[in-house]
Amino acid sequence: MAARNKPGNGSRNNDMNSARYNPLKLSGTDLPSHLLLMVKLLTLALIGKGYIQHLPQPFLPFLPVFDHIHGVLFQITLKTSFIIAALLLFTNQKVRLSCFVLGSVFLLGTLSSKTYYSNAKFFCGLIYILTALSESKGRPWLIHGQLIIMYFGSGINKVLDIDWRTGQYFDHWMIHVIHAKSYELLADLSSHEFISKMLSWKTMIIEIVVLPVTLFFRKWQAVGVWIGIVFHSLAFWMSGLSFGVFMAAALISYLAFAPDSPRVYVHGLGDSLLARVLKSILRAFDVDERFIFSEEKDGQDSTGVNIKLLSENGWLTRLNQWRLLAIYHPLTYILLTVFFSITFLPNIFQHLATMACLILFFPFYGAFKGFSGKVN
Amino acid sequence: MKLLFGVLMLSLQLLMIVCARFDIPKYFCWAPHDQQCIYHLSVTIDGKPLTSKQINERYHLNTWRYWNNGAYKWVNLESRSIKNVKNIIRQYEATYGNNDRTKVVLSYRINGGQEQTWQWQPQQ
Repeated sequence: MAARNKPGNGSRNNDMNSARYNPLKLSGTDLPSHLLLMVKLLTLALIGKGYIQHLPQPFLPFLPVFDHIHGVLFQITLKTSFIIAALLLFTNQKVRLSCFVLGSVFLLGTLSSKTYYSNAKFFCGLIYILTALSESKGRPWLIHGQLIIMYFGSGINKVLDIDWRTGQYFDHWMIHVIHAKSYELLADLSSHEFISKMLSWKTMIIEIVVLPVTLFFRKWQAVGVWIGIVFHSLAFWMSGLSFGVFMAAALISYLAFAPDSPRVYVHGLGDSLLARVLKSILRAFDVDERFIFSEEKDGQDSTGVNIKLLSENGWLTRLNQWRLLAIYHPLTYILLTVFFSITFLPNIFQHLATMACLILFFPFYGAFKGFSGKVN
Repeated sequence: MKLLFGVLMLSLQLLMIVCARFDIPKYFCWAPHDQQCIYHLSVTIDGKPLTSKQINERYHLNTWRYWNNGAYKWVNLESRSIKNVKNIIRQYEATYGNNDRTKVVLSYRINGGQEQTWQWQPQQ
């Protein structure tokens, strides 16, 4: 621990300079580290899903001025701006400006073409812009507000539609548009009317009431995030659709509810070959050097989060400590984003990623007997 | 100033959610899957009919694989509101297609309901 944190010599200064441009570095910019991670992962997801290739030329724009702009030039400008802004973002340079440019690319692309419009692109554009506008300290309530408005608006639009209230929309969508065999099986076991109405009202109640309320109040936000993960996971499992980049973007945006990254003390990982390999991997992806590994089984440091991998409070507690290690480390989020976003990966990876999210971010581990893993 | 701009962006969305209650196309109001509208377009230019491919290219429309009567077929699908399709057609014909003397017949079903028809032709 001490060796990793000694004041620098010449080679240490070189390390710090090169780390400055490292995409894995999350601290030392104008954005809080959890927001910087969020926008970097969002950019990764957009690239993985191929959204750069489909940036539009003006066609049936929302604002007539776009019809007077040279189409190919406009498209090239959007693509070039995206690439440059993404590079600046990944190398931690002018991060707010980069977010503003990335958001503007999607919002201008959307305004320039009604056929290009999609809620996923609109959402991504807004998340970037609102991140650029967020304060450096304190909670990013603009992004919290954006998520609440999105869910509430979506739910209100549905509940005011009679086909949603009766379940007709859901039944038609599941049978004819999605052709979901799981839904047909469920519906055949009970009745189409019952299942479609139940799933419709479940969706509307979650969007109008549950998510806005839980995401609004700070003490319930961890629960709200997990309910959001359940909500999107169910939609994905039943329909097989990730709705373009939308599912990945929504889940990535939940990082706005994370606390700013604390120092993490990991006790009792050991010195086996496997432990050394794991430490190397974790350190490689921890450019900010927030993770400190200690050999002491029962060490405690009051300046950060303490994770005790050899806790004597039972297997569930030890499992929970590994879970905490995962949710505090940026590698987890990078892997999840890759699994959600890279289009040439088989669908099974998205299923694995949703299951991993459900397990990792389950907020009720403390309710189980024997759990004593407190975090600072 | 930054926060003010952010609040303005959020407020505009709330306004659009309210406006979505009126008879306007559903954009920027978080209505991603309000309706599943399967539709068919017949378009003639100077009396000559266009093929489905030509129609889709004209209006930049996508198709979707639809399950019906035990088989898949490719259809035009709008998953927000049929008003969006009508808006696209109107805007195209009033601008890029202004001189084409186009007649458009849009047949559609909302969420598998009754078939409805909408027509557009140039104003005399």
